[in-house]
Amino acid sequence: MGILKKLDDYRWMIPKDYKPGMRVPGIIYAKESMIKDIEKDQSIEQVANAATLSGIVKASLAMPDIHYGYGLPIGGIVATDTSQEGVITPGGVGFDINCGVRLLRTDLTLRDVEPKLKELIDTLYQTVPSGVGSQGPIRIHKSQYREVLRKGASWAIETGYGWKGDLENTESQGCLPGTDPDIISNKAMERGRNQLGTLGSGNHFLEVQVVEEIFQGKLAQAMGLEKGFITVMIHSGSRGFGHQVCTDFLKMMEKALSKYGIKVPDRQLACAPYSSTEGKNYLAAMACAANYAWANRQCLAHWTREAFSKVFGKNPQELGMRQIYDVAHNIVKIEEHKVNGNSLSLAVHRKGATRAFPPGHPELPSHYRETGQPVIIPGDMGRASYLLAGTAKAMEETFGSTCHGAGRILSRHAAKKALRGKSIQEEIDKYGIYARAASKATLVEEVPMAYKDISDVVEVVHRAGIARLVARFRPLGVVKG
Amino acid sequence: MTKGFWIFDTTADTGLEIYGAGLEEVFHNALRGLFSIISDLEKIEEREETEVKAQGEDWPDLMVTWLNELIFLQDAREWLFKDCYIEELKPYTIRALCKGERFKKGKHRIKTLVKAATYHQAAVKETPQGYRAVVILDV
Repeated sequence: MGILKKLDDYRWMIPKDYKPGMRVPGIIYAKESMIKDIEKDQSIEQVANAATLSGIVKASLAMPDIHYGYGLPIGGIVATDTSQEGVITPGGVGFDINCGVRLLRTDLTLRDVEPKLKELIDTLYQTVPSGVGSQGPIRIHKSQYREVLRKGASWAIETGYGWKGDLENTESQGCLPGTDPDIISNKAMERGRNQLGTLGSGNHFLEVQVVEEIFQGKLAQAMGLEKGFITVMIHSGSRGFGHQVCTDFLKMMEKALSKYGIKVPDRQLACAPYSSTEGKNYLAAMACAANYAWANRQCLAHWTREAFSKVFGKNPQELGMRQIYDVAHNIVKIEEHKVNGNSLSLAVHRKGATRAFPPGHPELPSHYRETGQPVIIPGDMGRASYLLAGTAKAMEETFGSTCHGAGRILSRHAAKKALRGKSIQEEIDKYGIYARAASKATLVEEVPMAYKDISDVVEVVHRAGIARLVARFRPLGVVKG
Repeated sequence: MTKGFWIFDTTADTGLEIYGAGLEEVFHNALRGLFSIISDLEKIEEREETEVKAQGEDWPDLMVTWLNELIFLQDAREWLFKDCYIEELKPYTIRALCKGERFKKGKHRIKTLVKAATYHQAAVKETPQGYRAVVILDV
């Protein structure tokens, strides 16, 4: 524990003098038993690197699910002051722009679903396209495509994919303003054209779960959850469209570095001032990708409802399939935050971190004003996922942010090795879940033991006060790309 | 000939270490390394070809940009490449005839969808044996 200085049971500091050029300290949220894993890779170095970014305020932050990324670590949060030469960095968002999670509730119970689980997962697998070796079912004309990028989730709802009420239960109502479809490269347009409405591969998934434990009865009730009831979690992002936007702008930002005389310790942290053309263009393109992702998850949610309807012979309304919420966990947003008593307009980069706005925040719909924002935290496919709620302390300490998931501890190769010759099916059977995947390799790489125990991660954010636990879900079946 | 590349893991992603006697060989092997991660090289036939161009600020940037061009062609147009003939390689541009075929369900499988090649620790360096390049891929 050479570098890290313990601040309290859940916060560890990288002092400002650790590395030349650091403008603020680094703060990592973790408990003592996690530190050894965190120190194993270079993520601490990456937190320190981010602290050198121009205009960064307060601290370079990392959540307990921190792991090695490129540029910013996964689990990293960086806020830069837009009025004080603060920079915008695509490396602070990542390639999968607006990768995020959506949670649907149902009126179904474990007793309803258990006998039909296999049929349900098979139907979901057939209805919800993975996009791995297959294209999405949505064909869009050029003008419609631009509408997707401008309007996000509401495009999907107007086109018939979803319910109007889904919008208010989506972060930023499923649409970032300030888009400019004209600055999107032909490559990004082409890459995204056939992928709208697809799940994607890697850690993306669609999971049927049961509410296993309620921590805060009142909050759970307000969010529409009860023990023993079935929920569905959808984890996906902006697919090839967002990947290409990030690729395009990283290259552009590389050139901007010398133009603006900016030095960064890692090329992947290439950035430009908020007020520059490059900075503004990235924000406008990133907003297009974020909206693509919200339209994407909206379509996936629609087909999920259709699959349930088919299997249970009732329409989705009768099944009570209301959307609890949808959060982004790879994004940069311009938000107002109080720093040292002053209200500042900040570019909050959340890379593997979730917004966690407190009760009373004006951005929340009226039915969540008292609870705080629902924060959806997916775990690995074997153990558990969680629902939390945003807090005032998150607003004070972490720019209204908290963790995003389990965080990998084993590389993909190490995950294969860890199975020690057992088949992935045997390993999954151990957890009693039913899984369908387009690629078996993905299933192997995503074996539960490759991840930190999600329960440790949410325990830290709950005890540190930057979100509070509402409910825990146990996976029953999963569809993967 | 050895295969000229080595795939290594970082915690969340996949790295590609590429070797070659000369720079041309390094760029050639980078293509093979990339498509051995995405699919099975031995199942890809050289049925079609397409010209690919890339431009960079320096060698590491050119390597990252080259791989990103190939990733785009795979993700957007379903190309799977097995080989390439490098028509021109100079500081810092590449023009190559890439050979392979389009993805066919049943014949090919996608093992890993690669999102992008990153600049993180990207390097192209001269060694006593020739050249060595490193690129980390976001998968």
